[in-house]
Amino acid sequence: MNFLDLFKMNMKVFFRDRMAIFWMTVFPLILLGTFGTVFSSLRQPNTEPIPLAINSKNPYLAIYEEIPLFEIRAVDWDLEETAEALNQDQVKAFIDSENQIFAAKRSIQVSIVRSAVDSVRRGLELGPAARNLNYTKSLIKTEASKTDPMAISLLSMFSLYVFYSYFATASYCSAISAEQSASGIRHEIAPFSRLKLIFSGFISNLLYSIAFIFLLKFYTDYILKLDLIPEFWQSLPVLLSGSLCGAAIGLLIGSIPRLSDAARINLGVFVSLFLGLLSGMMSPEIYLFINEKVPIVARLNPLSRLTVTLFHINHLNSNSESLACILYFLALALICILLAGRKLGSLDHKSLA
Amino acid sequence: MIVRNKDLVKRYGELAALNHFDLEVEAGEILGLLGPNGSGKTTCINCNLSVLSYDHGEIEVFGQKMAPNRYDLKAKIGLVPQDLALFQELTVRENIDYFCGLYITNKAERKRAVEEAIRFVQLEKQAKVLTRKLSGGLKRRLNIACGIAHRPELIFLDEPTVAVDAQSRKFILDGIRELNRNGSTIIYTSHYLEEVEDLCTRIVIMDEGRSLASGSVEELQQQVSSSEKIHLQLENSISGLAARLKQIDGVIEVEESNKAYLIKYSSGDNNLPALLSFLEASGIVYREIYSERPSLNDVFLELTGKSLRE
Repeated sequence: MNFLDLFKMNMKVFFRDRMAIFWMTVFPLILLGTFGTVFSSLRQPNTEPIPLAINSKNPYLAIYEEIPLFEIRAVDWDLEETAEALNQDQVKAFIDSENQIFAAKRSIQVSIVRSAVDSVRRGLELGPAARNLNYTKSLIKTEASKTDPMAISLLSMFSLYVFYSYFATASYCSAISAEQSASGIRHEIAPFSRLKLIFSGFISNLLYSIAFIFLLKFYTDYILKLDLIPEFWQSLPVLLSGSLCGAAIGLLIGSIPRLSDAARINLGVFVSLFLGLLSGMMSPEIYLFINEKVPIVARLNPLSRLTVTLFHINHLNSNSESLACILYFLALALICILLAGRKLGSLDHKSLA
Repeated sequence: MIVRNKDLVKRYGELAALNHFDLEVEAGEILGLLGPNGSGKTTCINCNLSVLSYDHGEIEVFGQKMAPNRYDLKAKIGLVPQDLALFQELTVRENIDYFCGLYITNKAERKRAVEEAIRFVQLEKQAKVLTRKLSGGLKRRLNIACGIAHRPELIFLDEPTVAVDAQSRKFILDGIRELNRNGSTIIYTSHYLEEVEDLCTRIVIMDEGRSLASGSVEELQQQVSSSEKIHLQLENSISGLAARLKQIDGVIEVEESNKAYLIKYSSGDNNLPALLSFLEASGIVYREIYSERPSLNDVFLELTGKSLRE
């Protein structure tokens, strides 16, 4: 039997299991839809004007003054004065005479300023046709949603589902392990490559998880109309590494002998909900509190890492967290795979199910 | 010799599941492993299959030392486990094809083997039915098909008729005989006496991880001190009859219960005519009388002091 035969069998077993389909596909969509609907009604974009300093010699000062999102201060600061004002948070950003943006730290407001500068630059490139462009309307439509703190909660929930590959992989392990099922005994007495078996199950479940990510993206964009992950292709490497990490954790938990299927599922549900809670799924304030008081917890929590990275990519237009996040997930996955492989690859058991 | 276990010991902490257990199985036999629950039958099978490690002893299969990585030996072995080892979400054909595929890589050959297995267990009509929709008896048949589809030379069947109706049980036992006629050596475990007596060419009686006795049914019956038992049911109770019956030649024990008597003989298997003559001469009217050879339960009782049926 080759990999394709094994893959087809795994997919048949999964898609014909109505409970698995419900809990792993339908239920997450229902939950996301419910939360998305509730949070959408609570969403109140922050409408306070953003304090912005612009060099008085900037040729586009008049254009920026037309944008009500900003509270403009025309200034003639030198470098020192600019730095002081930014550090003291008197202004969120400073635009010099050449349209260069200076900011003390990344934030949503800085992201909005950057978008405004880009919009102005593009508008001017259009020449006379730009006269009819309404900068304010465009910015409010595309940028206002970025100030919404509920985005953290929804991103946290999205991140939770990225790790759902855990459940299918954990269940698969019990089917092929003699310490856990009669079917496992059948697998282990057969003259068949153990590595091929484990690999095929792992890859099958991972591929399903990746397909589910695309389904989630389609669902949030076109059904819920949330535009939760506008930079999807930039976010994809992070999402894929998260899915791989989830599958690897499932492999590790699935390799623990004499842990029942119910115990594995409950463990996955409770731990993922708990980590989701810490990553801000129920309230962004919880994540901010954890990040402030016990930052190591936020750094180690895979759901927090993924949520924050997605937030940076999609709401702050920054990839600064991406590489570290991917490397973290890959390292965690490798550790889990090595530990699980050692257990699952062993055919000699002291006791059986 | 197909299987040889020598001085096998397997402990779970203080409990010795196999306690210096010996076993020899010749090619072409149907060997019955008979013992109560917890006697070590399944542990013996799992050790022989090399999925369970053991603490001491030797296991040889097909004349070679068995080990987890001996794929060449595993290719010739089939297992029908006590618990159903099936994918509930696959059809009958898909289940057999999958498990057969772990042994036979050639697609054409595997297809033939799968169809043959479906015919063997008579699941042609259910070939496309999902396993979760089958009855318990049909699932048991499928369980067998998945274990024998690759035509193994040695088959372990671990209590394959548990919780199965009488018709399916008969079907399974007939199927096992056919497998044996086709050349497979069978090792069959059960705690059902009648099955083992009826099916097996040789029986090993186990208890507490040890082999207590081994032989054909007749050989084992001869190990029992009483050769024949006669059950006698009277119309009316007769005082002092038990003592008079005990005087009859060959009678070693008489058990009395109300109007029923159980008379045990030390030798011979045709003591009924002599007893009938005695009853006639004594003018004793009886309602029912029949003879019984010692059962495997009697053998077990004689060897261990306890009954096989718990």
